Amino acid sequence: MSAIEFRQLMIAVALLISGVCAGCGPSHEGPELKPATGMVMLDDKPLVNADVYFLPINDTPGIGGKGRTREEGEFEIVYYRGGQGLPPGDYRVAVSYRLMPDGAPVPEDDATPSIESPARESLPSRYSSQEQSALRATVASGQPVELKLTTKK
Amino acid sequence: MARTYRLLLACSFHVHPAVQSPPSTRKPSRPTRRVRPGFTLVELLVVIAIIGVLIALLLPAVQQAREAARRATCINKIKQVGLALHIYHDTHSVFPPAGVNYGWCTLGTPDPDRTTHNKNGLSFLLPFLEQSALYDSINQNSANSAQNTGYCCSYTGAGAPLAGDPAENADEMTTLLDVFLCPSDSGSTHLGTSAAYGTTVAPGPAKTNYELSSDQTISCNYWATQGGASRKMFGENSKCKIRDVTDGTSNTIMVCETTREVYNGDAPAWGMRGWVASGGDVDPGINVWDIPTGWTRPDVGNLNSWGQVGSLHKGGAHFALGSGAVSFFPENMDLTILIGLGKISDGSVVQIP
Repeated sequence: MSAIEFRQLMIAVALLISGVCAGCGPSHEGPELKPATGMVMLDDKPLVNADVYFLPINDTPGIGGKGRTREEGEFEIVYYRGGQGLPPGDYRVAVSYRLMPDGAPVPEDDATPSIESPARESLPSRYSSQEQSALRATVASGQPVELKLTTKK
Repeated sequence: MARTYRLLLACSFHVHPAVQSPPSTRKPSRPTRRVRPGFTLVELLVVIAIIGVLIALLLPAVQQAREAARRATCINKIKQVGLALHIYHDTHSVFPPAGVNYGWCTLGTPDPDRTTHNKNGLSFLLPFLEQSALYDSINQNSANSAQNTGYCCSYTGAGAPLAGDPAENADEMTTLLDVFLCPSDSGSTHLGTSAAYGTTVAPGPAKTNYELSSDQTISCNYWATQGGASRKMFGENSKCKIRDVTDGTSNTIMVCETTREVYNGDAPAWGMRGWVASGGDVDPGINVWDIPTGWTRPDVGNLNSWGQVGSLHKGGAHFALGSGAVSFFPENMDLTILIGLGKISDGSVVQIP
């Protein structure tokens, strides 16, 4: 095969690959996300394996997100449309910590949806209700959210 | 290498080299280069590459045309449901309820005279969707499912006795109705025979992609006790009339599109109301998909929760408004506007984008 033929071949292959790849690029829509991290303390102790929900209020763009607390009670929110963080703004925060009927926490690998699981909510609705929670947080760049919960009224 | 291929090509054109070669009796004057009809390898590859590029350009367009056709079918179906609601209103001077006497939800004050019916309001539309025979075979004095308690988390349920014998209507509930299925959704079509959502008759109640707009709540969305400003067009035992929609029927959502796969809970069925089957609620937003633990991207097609709205059409979902018009609302639309569109008389001025 001559050098010219080889070059023609390479051009043809390049054309083919560029044709196939056309239109496959990632498309980014929606508001810009800022890191939304923080920690949850229950009676000054870190709350592990609790679900944290951020729901937009006061004309904050987007639809909110959720996260789960780790060993030190720290969490990172994942935006419901995908990606780490949230659009900056004000949020209503709900913290849900569910316990099995025997009082044990829900196992970490338990994928049963909450509405089908025997586990019960252990936090009062002023923290756990996504509609009525009194917890508020503001997402701004570089400021972790600290949520301090108390069991007494 | 090219020569070998040329030889192969020549063979494939049924030109035998031995036949074509000059007879040996003639005196060879000078070596003539034989010209064979055929293509070189490079020529062929270039042609294949060009065809490949053309197909690669064409394929997404074809797929988009197919999705556009499915979308048009879906718009037609949700329009049918909207029109059926209006004909029902013409006949009965009131819209049907989202459902009648749910067994799963816990009442604030138990009603001693209450019986559990678990009927979905969509089942009352059957005579107006050319399904009179199916409607007549449903016993309206019997419940449409046997779900009569809360299923988890120590919710007690309504505690009312079941009306009639739900087994009488179990077969009817499994009937798959094309008018309630969006062709873009490839999710499963039946709820199965689980105690919480289904009936004992396989394959279980047939699902629907279209739901009546009502509040998603773990307590009963009892329309009569809701404040006027927070009402949606439907709810449990709702009796909404067009005159109740003071925000204007063209500014109020009537029918929502939803998906047939749901992570937390299950998709609605057109005939019955089971555990946490409350309707379609726009408040959490459109297309809020489940994000499995540890993922940073949503599981598209699997709605986050029961009672939510969404579709597998790219970027939004269809809604039938109270006026009967069908609109496609984008998933990125302002949540405040969407919530305002859901309520019938909150007095907020909304501009449909």
